[in-house]
Amino acid sequence: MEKIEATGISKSFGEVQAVRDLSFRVEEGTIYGILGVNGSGKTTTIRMLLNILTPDQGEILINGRPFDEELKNRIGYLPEERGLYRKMKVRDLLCYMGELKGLTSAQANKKASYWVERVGLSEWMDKKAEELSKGMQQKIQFVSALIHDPEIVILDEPFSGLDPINTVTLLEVMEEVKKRGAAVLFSTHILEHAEKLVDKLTFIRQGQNVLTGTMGEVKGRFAATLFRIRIDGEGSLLSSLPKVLKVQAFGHEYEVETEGDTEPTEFLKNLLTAGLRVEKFEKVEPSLTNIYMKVMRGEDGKN
Amino acid sequence: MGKIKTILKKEFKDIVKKKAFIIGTILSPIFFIGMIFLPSLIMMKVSKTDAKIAVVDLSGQIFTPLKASLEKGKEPAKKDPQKAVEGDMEGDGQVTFALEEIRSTSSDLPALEERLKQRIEAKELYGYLIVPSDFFSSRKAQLKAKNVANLGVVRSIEGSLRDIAERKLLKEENFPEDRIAELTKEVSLSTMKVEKGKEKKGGFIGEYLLSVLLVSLLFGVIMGYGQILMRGVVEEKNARIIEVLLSSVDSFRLLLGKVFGVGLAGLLQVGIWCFMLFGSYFYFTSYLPMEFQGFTLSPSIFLSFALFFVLGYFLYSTLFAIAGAVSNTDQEAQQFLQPIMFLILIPFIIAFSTIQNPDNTAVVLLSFFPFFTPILMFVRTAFSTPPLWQIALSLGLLVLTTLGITYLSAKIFRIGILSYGKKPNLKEILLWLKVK
Repeated sequence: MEKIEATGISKSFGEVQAVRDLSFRVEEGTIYGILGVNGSGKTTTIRMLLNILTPDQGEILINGRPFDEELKNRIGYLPEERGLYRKMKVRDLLCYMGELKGLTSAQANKKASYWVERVGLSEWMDKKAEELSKGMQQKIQFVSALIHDPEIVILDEPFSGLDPINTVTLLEVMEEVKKRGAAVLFSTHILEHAEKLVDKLTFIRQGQNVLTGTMGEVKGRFAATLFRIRIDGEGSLLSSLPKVLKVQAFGHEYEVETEGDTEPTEFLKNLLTAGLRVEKFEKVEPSLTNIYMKVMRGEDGKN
Repeated sequence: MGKIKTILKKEFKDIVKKKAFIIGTILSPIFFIGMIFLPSLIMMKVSKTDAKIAVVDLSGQIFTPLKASLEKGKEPAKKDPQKAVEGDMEGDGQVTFALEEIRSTSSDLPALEERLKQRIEAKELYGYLIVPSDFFSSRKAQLKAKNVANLGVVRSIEGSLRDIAERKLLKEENFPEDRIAELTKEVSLSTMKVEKGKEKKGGFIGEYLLSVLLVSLLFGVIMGYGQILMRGVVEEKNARIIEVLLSSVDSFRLLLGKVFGVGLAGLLQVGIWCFMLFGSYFYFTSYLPMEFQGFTLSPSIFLSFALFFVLGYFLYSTLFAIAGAVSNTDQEAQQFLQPIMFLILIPFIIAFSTIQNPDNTAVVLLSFFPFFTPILMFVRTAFSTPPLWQIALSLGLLVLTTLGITYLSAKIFRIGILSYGKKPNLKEILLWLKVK
């Protein structure tokens, strides 16, 4: 079932068009990534999903119907800009957030204990927020968005500023939430996280979708086959070989982009024929970073 | 409704749990009660001291009647309780005199005075009185004492001397004894307030002070709690909590919850203060000057105070919330304080400069202006009895304006709290109102 359906949404602030004709769908039990550079319209899009901003055009359906107040209890939201009540104790803070999402104070209390335990901050439960380190505060904010077991989880740049260990914790929790059947939507400009996590993703540039699909589809769209090789000899020869589109040097190693239908054996044969001594030869899957760079530069990969 | 309650509870607890609140709630009234009652209590103690006075009666006719009049103590005064208490306030009252006659002639006076001064130094004497031989024509006498600021002592002696002089003159004119008593009787003026065609016991000063107290309370609480609300909004905006809140509850209910929560804490504090003040008033009432006594604490004054207090707080607090919403820092928000303060100060000043005539046409008209209504209408109801339709009309306007402003401020609030950076100008704020 589709939890979020955005169809042709646009939003302008005065002269600036932040989002234009953007569409996407998020199903339950999936994780959806919105990827884009800073200022590409991610936060505006997310704020429209939450009815904090209203789109100038287009339609947003949550659970199959337009936004209403009752829906707020089913959504968990972590905004990009983070903050806590500095003087409030962690438990009180989480309970407050839970109660604002419609939990009773007993339920909120129980959930608060569970989540604080889950992210390993039990002994900080009765400390004031300002006594926590930045990373701890971020984890508290993260779980405050999940305390009411929302059906829809919207996270704006959830990983920014987190250390690798905390990032892993977050990734695990997001997987758990997905397995529970929730629809998770998050925005990021850090791709390695997205790569591990997303079922479906969309790239947006200047407020528009430029590429949407499952991880497999997106990679498929970028039909180029990538080889990583190390050779002993002159690298300039590489670009003159058949089917080669682009060569990038990393010291003695090269990343060679070839046409989509290039077979590894065929390419290896070509290398040897050209008289190069191959020390290392590897076919690599195109990384999301690779695709991202292309998309953001405006090469849409359809060639 | 549930979410308003959640927000209300949180805001209320935030304030009430603070040490400053607890200390302020308990200490302020103690301080205040001290300010009102302590002087009376202290004076009471001081005036109970014995005043041993040496009388150098050069006229030879004063000592006996003076001794009779002063040492009789408070008997003449007791016949007139109003005067007695009035006297208390001036430090008169329970002075116990002991008079000692010193015979002397004007020639050995300097030497005598030297001795008397030493006795004052040795605390044997409170002071000494010199009555010159021509007292009855000159009506002059001298009191020399270490403390001449005790009006109680001074007034009593003065009064008795005048009394003696008057009686002697009247006697010389051959007035009979009872006629003399009649002629020298003091005047006592008591005041009565007429309300709804009925007499109401009570002094003007008492009600005046009570209203000043209540209106100051109104002013102080609106300013104080309005600022707490404003800082709360700025904090939520600064700490970027506001987005999470708005994803849980709409701006109108968020605003209502905050206004109610902060207001309730204010009401609790004022409630405790009133309770302590009036509790101690009834407890200490007998120590108080007459002006403070006996004025009826009519329930209608408190009813109208509570009503105007709540509505006034509500109206102004939405303004404070807007000020917080359109500011980025506390300092920026402070700039909005002044205009709001003027808006409260104007009726405050009008109210007390026209208090003798609260039904003055200008005051009546101004009391319908919703921002002035809480103070002006309250003062009018306290000092006169405005027609019911006027009260109803002003209340109606006040409620309507409050609802209107709350609705508008929820809109401004919603956009203001999400806009960071440059402080918006008035034009931009007005534009926000048009946003759906």
